[in-house]
Amino acid sequence: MTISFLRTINEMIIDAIMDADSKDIKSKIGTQGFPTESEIDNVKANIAAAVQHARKERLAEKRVAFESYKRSLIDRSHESASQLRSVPEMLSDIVTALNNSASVPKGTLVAFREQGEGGNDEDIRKIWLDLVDLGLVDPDAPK
Amino acid sequence: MVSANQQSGEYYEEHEIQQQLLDMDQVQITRLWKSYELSGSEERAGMTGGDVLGAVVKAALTPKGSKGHRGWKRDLPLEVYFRMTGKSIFDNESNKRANQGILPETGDVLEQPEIGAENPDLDIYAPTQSADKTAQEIQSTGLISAMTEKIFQLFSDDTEALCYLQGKLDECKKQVIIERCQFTDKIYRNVQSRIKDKVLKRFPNGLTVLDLDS
Repeated sequence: MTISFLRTINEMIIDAIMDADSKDIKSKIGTQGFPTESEIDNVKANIAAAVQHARKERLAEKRVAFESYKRSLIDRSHESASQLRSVPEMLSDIVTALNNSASVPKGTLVAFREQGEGGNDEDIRKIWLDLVDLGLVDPDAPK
Repeated sequence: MVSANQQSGEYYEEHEIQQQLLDMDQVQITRLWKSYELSGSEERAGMTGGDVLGAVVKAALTPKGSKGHRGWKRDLPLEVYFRMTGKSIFDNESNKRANQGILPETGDVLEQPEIGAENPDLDIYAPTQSADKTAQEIQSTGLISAMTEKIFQLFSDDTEALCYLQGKLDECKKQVIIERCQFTDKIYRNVQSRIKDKVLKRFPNGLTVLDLDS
């Protein structure tokens, strides 16, 4: 006599439950040894909450990943764009763009003039990149 | 329901798992709940069927690469995934409790002292590490013999079932039982089905909680 025989019989009892007709199973809900309607409702509510939580978490993770990807794209484009021009050339692009007052909103013009006052090379590079981002300077245009 | 043909890959994607979980109905939940408790989840791991279900849902939703993730292969139907994962979860919990020295629940296990006084709980799913020891202890009490005889008595008027059970007792594979009992495949399945129905009726709460009185 071995315990594995009893394990086999117990598995057969479980198989019988798994194979039983849906109507039979439904009729047993709430009877001794079976979950009640409210216990089943709790399980369903917990599943819905767990799925919602997982979806929110995944969305937040994807948002963070997208923001980081976007940032890396911008950084890369800035890096390659600024390699196309020297500082004097950037300054020339800026002057051309700001002098073209027809295509630059007045507020932007003032803001850039203020930002550029007494600026160093880094400020000039930053203004140039901002103007590239705004589409006011074409980094690929002939020098 | 998500069609397996619509997606590639060996495992379900996260959104497919989420949909399958949301589609679970009362009957599936009831079957699984009962199957966990019949396997002794409460006595061994202190987990109700609902606790195990919750733990399986959590594992299924845990992303790949994170602690607690349990991949769900496309060829596994929901019930099979839940049974396997659930059993693994409460086996682990049961092992943890055993290591911490927490004894299984014994409240309503046996009420016949002359048979089970020394080993009041017959845990047929004892953790692997201690299975041999537990089995030896239990065998010494005669509990297994008594229970086995009871099962054979249930089928005293069914020679086919008795032959099948003897084969199982001798740990024979299906093919050996078929040859030994001179069954066809169909008869084998019919006999198996008869036994399942009868043992379920006789032992609706499984064999983890023995009722030797009746």
